[in-house]
Amino acid sequence: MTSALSLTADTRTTSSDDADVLAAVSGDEHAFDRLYTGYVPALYRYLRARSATPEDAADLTQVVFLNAFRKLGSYRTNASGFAPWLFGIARNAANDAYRRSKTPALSWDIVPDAFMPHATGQTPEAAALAAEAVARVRTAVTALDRDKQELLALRFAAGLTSAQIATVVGKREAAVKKQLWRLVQQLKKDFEDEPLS
Amino acid sequence: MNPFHNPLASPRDIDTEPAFDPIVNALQTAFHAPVPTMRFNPLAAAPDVGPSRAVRPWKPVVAFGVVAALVLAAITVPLISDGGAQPASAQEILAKVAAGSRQPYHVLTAGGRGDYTWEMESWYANSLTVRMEERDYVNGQLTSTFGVVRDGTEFWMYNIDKTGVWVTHATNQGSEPVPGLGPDPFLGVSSAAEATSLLLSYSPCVPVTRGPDAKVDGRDAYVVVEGPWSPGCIDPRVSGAPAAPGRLVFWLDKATFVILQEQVQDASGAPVDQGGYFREVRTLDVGPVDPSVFHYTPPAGVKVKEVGGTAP
Repeated sequence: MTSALSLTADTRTTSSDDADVLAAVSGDEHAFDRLYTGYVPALYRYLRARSATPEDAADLTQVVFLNAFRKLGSYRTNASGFAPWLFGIARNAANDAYRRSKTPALSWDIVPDAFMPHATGQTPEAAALAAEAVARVRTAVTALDRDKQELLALRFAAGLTSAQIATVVGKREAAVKKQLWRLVQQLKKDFEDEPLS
Repeated sequence: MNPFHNPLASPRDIDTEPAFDPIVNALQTAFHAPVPTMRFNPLAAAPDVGPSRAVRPWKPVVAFGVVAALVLAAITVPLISDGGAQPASAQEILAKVAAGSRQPYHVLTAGGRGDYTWEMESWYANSLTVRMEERDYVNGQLTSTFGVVRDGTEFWMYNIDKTGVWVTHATNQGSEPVPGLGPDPFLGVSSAAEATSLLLSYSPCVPVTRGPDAKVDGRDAYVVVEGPWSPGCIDPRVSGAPAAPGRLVFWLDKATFVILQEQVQDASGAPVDQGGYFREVRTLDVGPVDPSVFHYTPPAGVKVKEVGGTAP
């Protein structure tokens, strides 16, 4: 079954990642470009969720990739793959930035109005309802504590699987799955009286 | 009713949550920020995201990972300050290490803190014929083994941990280290490559100077002093890099450039307690290495991931 939550439509696999890492440290100058191209959307979105401005997120994205490039030789092939390793670096960078700036853990100006869901053929009314749903979810997520917000960012912004998130945050996969499931249920509960459209 | 303890609401796999769930859809949209066009330049300076205020213990091993940075720039830009008596000589050592003018060797180093310890073993014949193996232990029990073997154009990488045995093989690669990672990035802790990275790790904030030559366990050594970190100095190239509390002193074997000894010192030169962290060279053999060391055969039954000569 295809996961409905594979937000990044991840075309990268553990196998292709490891091959590119090896090629990169072996001198193939294009290999890291492939890793960069493959991961920059998910990484940026994760860091965007944890930065105050798009500019901060872009800067952090570059910092993370530079650090990853420099540390590439320390990457170890394993079952978890390259993504958790990369997002581990990103998480540390985001935590550092958070300590410096004390900005909110999750920034909720991440979706400009122009980017609100507006499927082809969607009526203005439907688009408005969808935008409202997103706005309400934002508000609800903002009320969560920082750890929970980060789990959601790793899931929905980065598009990581529960197993990958578990590696990034240092928890068991089962615990991550349970916590994510509870978070979604909690949000559903919040909207029980007035369901999302 | 507490929904989290509803026996009818047993946890499902969030990975397969249906796409039509309005909450999930809203979360997907909320986090789906537009991505600007960005390009990666490995030799570019990192954006200045400000100094880190994180309080961290000084962990040399972590620093070793961070410092494999901007090798070309570090070689060519004369950043070594005149904070010591023989700055030109420190530059000279740096050039020698970077040039790989060293004798063959085999070195076994160990380190760690508390329950976690590691061993790192490196064999060096020449810049194209090297092997490194790292073994991690928890409470004395081996938990993982990672190794890299490079023999000319043959390149093997293996990792053995609780998830299994992972072996990758490449041919016609590995002959040239990638710019920015430093020479011999896989040679490992205590190898001459590590010394290269350490020496190249200085920044405008960290002067590197040479101290008087010394002997360590009877071996002639260069003494190189890194630091102290200039107060308030921000190095935009090494974001988040921990600032040493005082200075780092390295004793480099003159024949191989292996780090024989290292010490964190305060401003007065007194050793700084590193919270139980230790690192020591246990064996250093200088001279020709048995060629069979550089031939790797995967364990029987292990699937080898092949990487083509030229990546697609």
